[in-house]
Amino acid sequence: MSDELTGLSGHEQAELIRCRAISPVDLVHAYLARIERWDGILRAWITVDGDRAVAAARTAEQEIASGRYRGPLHGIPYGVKDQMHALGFPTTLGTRVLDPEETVAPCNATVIERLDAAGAILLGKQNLHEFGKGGTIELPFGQPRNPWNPAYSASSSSSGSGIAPSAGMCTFSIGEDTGGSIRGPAAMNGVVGLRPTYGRVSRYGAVAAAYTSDTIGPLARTVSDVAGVMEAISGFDARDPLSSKRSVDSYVATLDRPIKGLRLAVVREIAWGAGTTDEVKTVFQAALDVLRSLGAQIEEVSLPLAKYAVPLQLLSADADVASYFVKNYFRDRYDRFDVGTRTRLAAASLIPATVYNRAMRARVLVRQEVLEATKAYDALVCPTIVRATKPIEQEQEKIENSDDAVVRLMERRISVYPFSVANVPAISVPMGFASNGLPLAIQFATKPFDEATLFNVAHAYERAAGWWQSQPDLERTLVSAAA
Amino acid sequence: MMNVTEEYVRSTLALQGIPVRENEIPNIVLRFSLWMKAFNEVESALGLQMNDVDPIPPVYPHEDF
Repeated sequence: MSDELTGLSGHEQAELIRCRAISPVDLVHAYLARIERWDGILRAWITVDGDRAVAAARTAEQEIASGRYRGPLHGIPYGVKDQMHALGFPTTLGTRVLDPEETVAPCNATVIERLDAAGAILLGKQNLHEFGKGGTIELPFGQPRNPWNPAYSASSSSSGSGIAPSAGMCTFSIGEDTGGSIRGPAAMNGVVGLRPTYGRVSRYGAVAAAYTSDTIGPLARTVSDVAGVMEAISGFDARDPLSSKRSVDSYVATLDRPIKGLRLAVVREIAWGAGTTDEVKTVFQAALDVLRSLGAQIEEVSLPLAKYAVPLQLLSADADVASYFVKNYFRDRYDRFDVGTRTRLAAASLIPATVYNRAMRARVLVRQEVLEATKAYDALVCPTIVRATKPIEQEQEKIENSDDAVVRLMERRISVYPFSVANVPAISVPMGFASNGLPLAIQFATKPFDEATLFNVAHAYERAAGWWQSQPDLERTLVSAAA
Repeated sequence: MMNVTEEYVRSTLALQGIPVRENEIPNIVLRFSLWMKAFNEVESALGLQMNDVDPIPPVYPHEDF
């Protein structure tokens, strides 16, 4: 019974809770049992507080029984990347740099406050690359592993936030995406993940230093669940000076609109680029056929500046992050940083202000190109990852000096960085599997603040393609690791 | 053209008081060199257009869409 509960979508769970066919207490116990059984291998979580979650579930149960049902997130368990403060939980940031007293959360992040108000139940804090940066070599709270094959990468940096909903350890996660840190883990672990429009979700209470690109968003097994969470966490917050005052659309109510006649543009440089494997191109072609079958018009757009997004993000956002750490911890705790983090931060600290300024100018040009494309089409479409996921050791960043190193740098995350540089919303949805059995994913992006269209297209694709029904059978995929 | 030297890397890290281990210097030189090579490509492709725009951070609350 408990695995049946965790195998349901959040929407299905909410219906059962609303009509009191199940209790939130049962659901919390079911997730805690799976965490207990499998997280020794998968390492999706840093801190789990089962007693607190059960107590919150009992409160939710009583409220619902007395007619005070708050809505579709009431009694639904979730986890949050350990980069956001939640009172009562340490904020470890996935690092050995901080002393225990420095990890005490000073406040609730706005997203935690809003999910509390909606009645969602926080199970715990999820594993991440150090400080939410990518490229950590040795993760102090354990190596996150892919539930489809634990020898393979679970991506970065919201690694645990991708693993947990995929492995049936929570209904949804809250992650953070600077340069693909939600969409990458969503794609590689086979779930849905949204990078929202910049300013749509408050950053208050998140520990992040790349202020021009940091966004907070949900990961879950279905588009509908991600849309529901977005309705709860979006909206103006005076404590985030870059939060938008725009009203929030009703995302769930418009999910089922037909997409017939919508114009979707394939991004040529990402979908058919030299860095995209033939295998990914074939699976992506099949996904486009599904969209055509729904009546969408598939066209093509060229974004020739997309290839510059990765280095421009490194030359600007990484410099912003380095400027924080040079003042804080780097001089007196250098050896406590992971070697991958510290060499990247040290390199970023060397970027001259003149180069930073020029990079920010170039980002304006890349962004303009993306924005023009989003104005011309209802959505842009491309693969989220351009090759199949590799084993953990092979996914670790290699620093090289070969003749084509610059090209490789540009291609490394070409599929996700352009939308980060442009700060437009982008969503990753499962689109099938590679020959190695690991998930592949399709990505949709659109103009700022038009998440409703994004959810509409992504939901239509998801329902027609049916990949959302595939879940890793941990009894099978983790059997060798458990032995 | 931005040309990275090991001397620049060492002296700028020292200027900031960052106590990098000696065996990590080659890694940092390689990383920074790669980024500057990429920057040189961006400059050669977009430099003139970059002169004509302001380096405004891409944050949204004051824009219309």
